[in-house]
Formats: sequence, C-alpha cells, structure tokens
Amino acid sequence: MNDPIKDFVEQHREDFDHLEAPQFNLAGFKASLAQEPMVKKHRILNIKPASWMAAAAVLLVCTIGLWFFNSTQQTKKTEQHLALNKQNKHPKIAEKPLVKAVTQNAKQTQFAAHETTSHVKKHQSKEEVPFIPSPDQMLYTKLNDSASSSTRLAAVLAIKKSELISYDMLDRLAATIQHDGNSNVRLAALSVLEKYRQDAHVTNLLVNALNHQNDPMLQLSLVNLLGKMQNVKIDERLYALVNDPSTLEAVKDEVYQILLKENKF
Amino acid sequence: MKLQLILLFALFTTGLSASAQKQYKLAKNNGKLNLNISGVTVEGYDGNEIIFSLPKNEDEEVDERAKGLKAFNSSGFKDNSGLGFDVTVRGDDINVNPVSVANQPKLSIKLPRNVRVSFANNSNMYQDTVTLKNLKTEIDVAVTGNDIVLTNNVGPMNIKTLHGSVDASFPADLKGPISIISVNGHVDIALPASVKANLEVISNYGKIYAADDLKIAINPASNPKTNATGQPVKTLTIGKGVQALTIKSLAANSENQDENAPVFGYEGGNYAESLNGKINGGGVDFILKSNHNNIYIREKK
Repeated sequence: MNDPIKDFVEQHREDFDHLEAPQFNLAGFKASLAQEPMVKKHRILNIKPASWMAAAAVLLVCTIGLWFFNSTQQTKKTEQHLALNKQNKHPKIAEKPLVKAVTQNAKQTQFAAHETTSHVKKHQSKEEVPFIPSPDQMLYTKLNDSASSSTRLAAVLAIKKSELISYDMLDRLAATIQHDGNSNVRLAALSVLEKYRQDAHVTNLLVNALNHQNDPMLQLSLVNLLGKMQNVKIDERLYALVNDPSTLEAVKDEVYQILLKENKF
Repeated sequence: MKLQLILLFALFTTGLSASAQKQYKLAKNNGKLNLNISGVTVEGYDGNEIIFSLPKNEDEEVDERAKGLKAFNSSGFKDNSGLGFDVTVRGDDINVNPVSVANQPKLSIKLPRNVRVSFANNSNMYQDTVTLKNLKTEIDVAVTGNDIVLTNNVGPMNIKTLHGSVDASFPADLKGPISIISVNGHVDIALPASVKANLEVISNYGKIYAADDLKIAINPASNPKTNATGQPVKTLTIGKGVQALTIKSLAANSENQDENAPVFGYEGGNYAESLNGKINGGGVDFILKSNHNNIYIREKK
C-alpha cells in the first residue's frame, strides 16, 4: 500500500537524524532531586505566624460560642421537657423534676470524668470512672431490643409505672406505636400515651399515629380513644378508614359509631 | 406367663403407634423456632432435638412418579423434612414454612426447653388451633383467626388473635410480662391461687368475670388527673357486668372506700369494662384484652 508520509520519511531520513541526544548529567539530576524537598519545606515555613494566630482566634471564638449555645439548650431541655403525671395531692411530684435534673447533671459529670481519665490514662494507674447508663437510657436500649418482644413490652410497662415522663420518651413511644413489629407492644405503648392524652403534644402524637397506623388492633384502640376526646380533628381519617375495603370490620363498626354519634355520617 | 404376655402386648402397641407416625428430627436446643403455618401443637421437653411429627395417614395416596423427588412451591420452599414442610436453619432462627398452603396437615412438635417459639399466621382461610404446652421460654403468637390454647407455659408471652379465642392455664411459677389480646374472641385464663400478679383487664363491649377465690385487690382510683397546666381532668367512672364480683372483694379488702374507691369502668367510655388489680400483692404483669367478647379469670384447680 502506498503511504506518502512513509515515503517522505524514507527519503529525508538523513535530515531527521542529524540531531543527537544530549549527554545525561547524572550529578545534576541528583542535585535537583535533593533540592525538591527543600523547596516544599520552604513553602510551608513561608506562612506567616499572623495567619496562625488569626485561625486560632476564630477557632477559639467558635468553640466558646458552641459551648455557650449547648449549655443554654441543655437548661431549656431540663426546664421544658418534663411532663408531670398529674396528681397535685402528693408533694413528692413537685420534687421529682429536681431529681430528674440532678440525675442529668450527674450524667454530664460522669461523662466529663470519663473523658478526663481517657486523656490522663497513660500516667495513672487503673483509676477509671465506670460509665453508668441512666435509667432512661437503659429503657431506650430495651425498647429497641429487636430480638425479644417481651423485653420491649417489659420496658413499656416500666415506663408506664413511672410517674414522670419526658417528651423525648413520649416521642419514642409514639415511634413504637408506629413501627414495632408486635401488636401487644404497640398497644402497651398506646396505653402509656393514653395516660397523658390531655397534653396537646401527646394529642398530636395520637392523631398522627392514627393517620399512619396499619395495624387493625391499634386502629381500633386509637379510634376508640380519639373518638371520645373533644376538639380532635380526625374526620378525614375516619372517612378514609370506612371507605378502605381492607379495613377490619370491627374497626369500621367503631368508626361508624363515632360518626353517627356526631351526626357526621 | 401372664405378665410376660401383657409386657409383650404393651411393647407391640408402643411399636405400632411409633411406626404410625412420620418424624423429622433436628439437632438444635437453642435459638428461636419461627412457625409460619396454619396450626400446630408444640410441647416442651427435656431433650436436645426438635422433633417434628405427623400421624401417618393410611388413606394417603402415594405418587409413584414423585419417588426420589421433592415438592417445591412458588416461594422457593421445598419439602426437606419429608412431612410437607420446609425446615430451614439460619443462625439462631429455625424457620418452618408449608410447601402447600392449602393442604397442610397439623404438625406436632416436641421442643427442647431453651428454644423460643414464634407463631404467625395471617391467612383468613387456613387456620387450625395453636396448642402450646409445657414451654419455659418466650412465646410470641400473632394470628388472624386461630384459636389458641396455652397450657402450663412459664412465659413471658405475647399473644394476639383477631378473631380467635384464647384459653390459657398457667403454673404458679411465672415470668412476665404476659399479654393476651383478641378482638372478637374470648380470653379465658386459669391461675393458681398462689400466683402473684398485677392484672390489667379491658373489654370494650364484653364483660369481665373473675373468681372470688383469687381475691383480686382492686387498685385504688387515681386522684383527679390534671394536665400539664394543672387543670383538672374530669373522670367519669362507669361499671357493669363484673361489678358484683369485684366490689364484693373490694369490700373485704378496703377499709376506707371513700379515699380508695375502685378503678372501675373506663374514662368517658359508654360500654367498656376494665379491671386493674393485684393478686397476692402483685408480681407478674398480665394484660388481658378483648374488644368484643368476654374475659374470664378463674382459679386453677
């Protein structure tokens, strides 16, 4: 096959070959290699100390700001996130929030002490402060035990027996009502929320639970409970339940009863 | 000579009954047995093998063409037990599923003491009685329409049936909590007089019956409840049905009825009945609930 470029190269080969490669300078190459890290080092050292100081100042301000914000939030939580279990007769109820607050402070102290020991560990003998989980944390752990429904049920019953409950715990129980794999556990969690149903937040949790509930046992109990409560808007959900062919007949009967009582059907 | 004949006859009969059963044994003495079948009889025993058995059906037709082959179904379950059930071990779980949903024989299982049981059946068509007896570990039953019979199980247990009923008889040495709920069926439990228990019993449209001999002490009514802002919550208490029984026992136990009025009825409810009380000072937690049927709490003789 005729290739004009190949022919041209063949004809002018001598013109291409007149240049020779320069002699390799090994000593110069080694010297350039040796110089490279020095250049990098120079660049690092080139940063002015003033920049470091500015960065440190910004970091310090951020840390102080974050610490201050956290401590304010913590105080708010302690004050707000406590719901009393009614009963004005017993003076011990008034004392309980204090006990709760002290427990939380103790928990923080324990955590701080734990951190300190981990820093000084190398220099001290075995003087470690064991981390003791609070009763709430233990209940949370049991409440999330996916292996045993009885453990979860026992945790819910323990929460039910306690006279104080935090909004955080109520939220977790609302999640249990929604997502637990066992109907008995869900119903027990509902019975805890039922105790505090006069609270606006709990009422919202109950309405939300009905709106997303797919377990007929829970639907029945929630309809029964919310149907008796005043000023709760669940009409849309009630209509949806009676119009859904998959709804259990017993649930429909309960819904019909509520709608008929209020002349909405 | 006569004695020898009797002995021979007894051995022959035992041998004959054993040969009239089909069995499958699985060497496993811990973990959890998950039964997704229509009905079962499970009995706890002191052994190291799970023994599945079926009575041999003499009228059963044998398909000669299927010899050496195994039955499969669309879910991928195969008859690896020879009893028509797929028995698969996955870690701690032993899963039992039917190969043919429509033609399930009722399985009998002998279970080592340490194996937990979970029974689930969501079928509206294929339901048989679930009988659990002499078990000492956790029991979990969630079914649509099966009737459930519980005999001498230690607990803890969570039992749920939508349309079936629950009949249970408990030993004195119990582990809680014990939760039994049904929508349309009755709940009937028998407790020894010596049992220590906390009772929480609710029936929305049925009645609650309890034996006087159990001496159930009704919990005192909680004081008028207040909400978070301190406003009192109106409490309406209605009782019927079981009143005669429980008020009688209350009169014997409570000295000051004005302050310790019984919790009876359901706040704001029209028909619901509830009973919260203790037997022998309290102990194991019992939750018994039936929406549309009666609840019976009797003494175990």
